[in-house]
Amino acid sequence: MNKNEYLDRLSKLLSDISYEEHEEALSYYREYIEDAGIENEQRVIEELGTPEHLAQEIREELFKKGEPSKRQGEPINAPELSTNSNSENTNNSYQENNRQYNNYHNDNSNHNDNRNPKAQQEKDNSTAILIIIALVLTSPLWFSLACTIIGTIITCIVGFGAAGIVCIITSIVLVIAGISALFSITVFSVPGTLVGAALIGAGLIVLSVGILLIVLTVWLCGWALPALVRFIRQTISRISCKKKEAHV
Amino acid sequence: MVFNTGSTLLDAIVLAVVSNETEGTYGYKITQDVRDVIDLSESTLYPVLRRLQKDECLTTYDRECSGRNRRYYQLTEKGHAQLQLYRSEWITYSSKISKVLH
Repeated sequence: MNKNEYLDRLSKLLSDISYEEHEEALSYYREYIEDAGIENEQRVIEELGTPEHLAQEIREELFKKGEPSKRQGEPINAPELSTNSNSENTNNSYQENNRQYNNYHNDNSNHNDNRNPKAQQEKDNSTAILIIIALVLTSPLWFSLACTIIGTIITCIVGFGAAGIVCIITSIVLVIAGISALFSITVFSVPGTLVGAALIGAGLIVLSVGILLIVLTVWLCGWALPALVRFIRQTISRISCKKKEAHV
Repeated sequence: MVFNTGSTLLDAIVLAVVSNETEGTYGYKITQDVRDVIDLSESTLYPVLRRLQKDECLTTYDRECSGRNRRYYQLTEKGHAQLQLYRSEWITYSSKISKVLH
């Protein structure tokens, strides 16, 4: 078996561990075989043992990580042996050793405690994944809802704006017509001043409506639309954040 | 060798070997250096290095070496402290063994 065959086989055997661990192990052994040099390649591959055996060793160590108490219970342990052989020796150095030994083990147990948040995080991650799945599954519903809301707001803006402009133009036309009517004697046998005043009055009413519509349009553009965009962006980033966490 | 090397002693030897190189050292060299002092299969060391790395006793950096990447291992602050503990433990342990087994 040459280097590439060996590493390919190892890669397949380790396909069930995490991507990070997989890459770490593969690059370590690739480097290792390369560092041994081409002349030693075959010997090193033989000494490493079968890919199956190697994969088993790598996996065992990973698995051991998950069991907090495992390391303390290991049989061949120099500090442990030293404390056992200390029964006849009760000097200060023993006390000191024992304290250090306990510290060492406390360190270990603290370290083990740190793994619990990891498990918690994994749990959180799985919830995040579930939420994402739910969001994707219900996407036709909320997506069309979001589209409707956005569509409605855009329609409102365009509609109000257009109506406002039409109102203002109409009012100008009405006022002009009113002014010209003022100067005519009669319009359709009604006194010009009367028609003119009525037209100018109507024109001013329409103008006020137009200004109102324009103000509404500006408000929608300046406040409601950005607020909506902000809301959508926040929602998306919240989802993608969860996604990112799930990947960690 | 007839004596087994437990995982704690192996940790201590690996930390000591790595600490001998101020610039850091790489997997193959660590294995050879450790094999100079104890019997060890070529495959044993990766899990140990990985564990020490996860326990924050070792840190790694990558360096380009003759056209390819090589990962170097170095002791962290915690690694130095751990090695110091192992050293003092070893002195008492080995001297006691020597007292009876000489």
